[in-house]
Amino acid sequence: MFARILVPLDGSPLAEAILPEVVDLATLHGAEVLLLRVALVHALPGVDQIEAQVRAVEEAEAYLAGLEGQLAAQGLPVRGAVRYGHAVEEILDHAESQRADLIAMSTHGRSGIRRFMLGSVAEAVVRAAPVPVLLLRGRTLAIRQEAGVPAAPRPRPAELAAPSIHHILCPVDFSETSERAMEYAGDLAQRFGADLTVLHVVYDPLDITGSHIPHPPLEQLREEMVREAEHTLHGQVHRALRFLPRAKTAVVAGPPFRQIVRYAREHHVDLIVMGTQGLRGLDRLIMGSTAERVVRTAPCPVVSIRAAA
Amino acid sequence: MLPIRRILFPTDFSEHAEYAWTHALTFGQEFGAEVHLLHVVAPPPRLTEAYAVNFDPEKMVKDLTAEANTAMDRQVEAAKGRGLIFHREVRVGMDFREIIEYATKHEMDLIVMATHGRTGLAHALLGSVAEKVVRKAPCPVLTVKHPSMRVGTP
Repeated sequence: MFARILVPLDGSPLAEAILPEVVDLATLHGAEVLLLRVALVHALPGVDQIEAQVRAVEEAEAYLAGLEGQLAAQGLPVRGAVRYGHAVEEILDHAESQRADLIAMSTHGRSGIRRFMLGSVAEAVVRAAPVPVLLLRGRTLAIRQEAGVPAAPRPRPAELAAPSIHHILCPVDFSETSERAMEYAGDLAQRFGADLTVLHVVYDPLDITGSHIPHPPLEQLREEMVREAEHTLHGQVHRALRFLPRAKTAVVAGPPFRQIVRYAREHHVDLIVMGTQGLRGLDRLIMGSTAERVVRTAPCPVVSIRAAA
Repeated sequence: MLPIRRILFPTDFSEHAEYAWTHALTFGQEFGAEVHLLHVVAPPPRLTEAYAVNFDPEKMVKDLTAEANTAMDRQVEAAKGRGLIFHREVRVGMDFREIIEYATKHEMDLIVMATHGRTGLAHALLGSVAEKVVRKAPCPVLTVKHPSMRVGTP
């Protein structure tokens, strides 16, 4: 189990590509995320060194603040730090002083003459790190380097009995794709004679503001959001799943993927069926889609259904 | 009612795939669907002549293909008596691309596959092949995680 995951960032999208994996790992392990940006200025002669350094640190702080906010909105404990100096030294020192037990970072995985900053930094960190390093190469997790921990767990020969499907969970967000997923889940439930729960997760306004102090208007707002969602969900399930009177509905508040995974775990769900929107661009790079994150962390098999092309 | 007539089961013959196989069979039986086994052999590395004295890339691919066919035969043999129709194919290429291409060309209704393969990361939560298939598949994908890869509850 990891308690503190250190994520060195250099401001590039490539470096941020590790974040979805980090968010999921941190969620599963209940770990704190330590974001680190190392700033170093090579100012030209004649330019004011001090001013350039101050500006670099301020930029780094603003950059981290943005990411901290995004991670905190996912309900994760997160701390950002800016250090001034050489990347490798500062990363290693930060890992030690903050007692990080995993370092997670991206590398472009090139070698030789085309290996720039990130590649060589990652390589040097891997060589010297006192803790395991999770490396994400380009867009693919491809390299493993571990220090002091056993190698990848070999899968035990699992019980190869036929899986039994008694409880199906279908998380929906009221999109067209999730409506298709709901019908699909309904058919599967009927076929397997399984129970079906259609789940909707409303964003918790208390999470979004980061306020954990009792706040009556926000609590009221959350209750209203939940009631509203229950009403909509009930209507939709009643229409789409008329053939399945046993279908249940549930509404909870919180970060969607965590609530979905938690619900599945707590209610002994055997199969999750859900639609995926196929996010593009920055959103996906930073967070990944909810469906993908459920696929990664679910305690049971998942059927993912893509939006019709 | 949902028609699932053809199920694609991409396999690398790992224990992960073996575990996912039980799900492919269950869905196959429940829906009376054909089960298509697909194994993708990576193309041999292109080596310059200097390094390739005793290396025959064609033979390597042929051997891997033959091995895969034997493994598939065994797997299908073991599942005999379930009244299922099986198809087998071994392809050479980039794994996820071949999986998507096969699913599209043969109009698969469902892909059942393991979240991880033979090679992979201890800490990664989803293997790269499964991730790409989930993103690009023309049909629903059932991803099955081997129990040993499930991280404990926080």
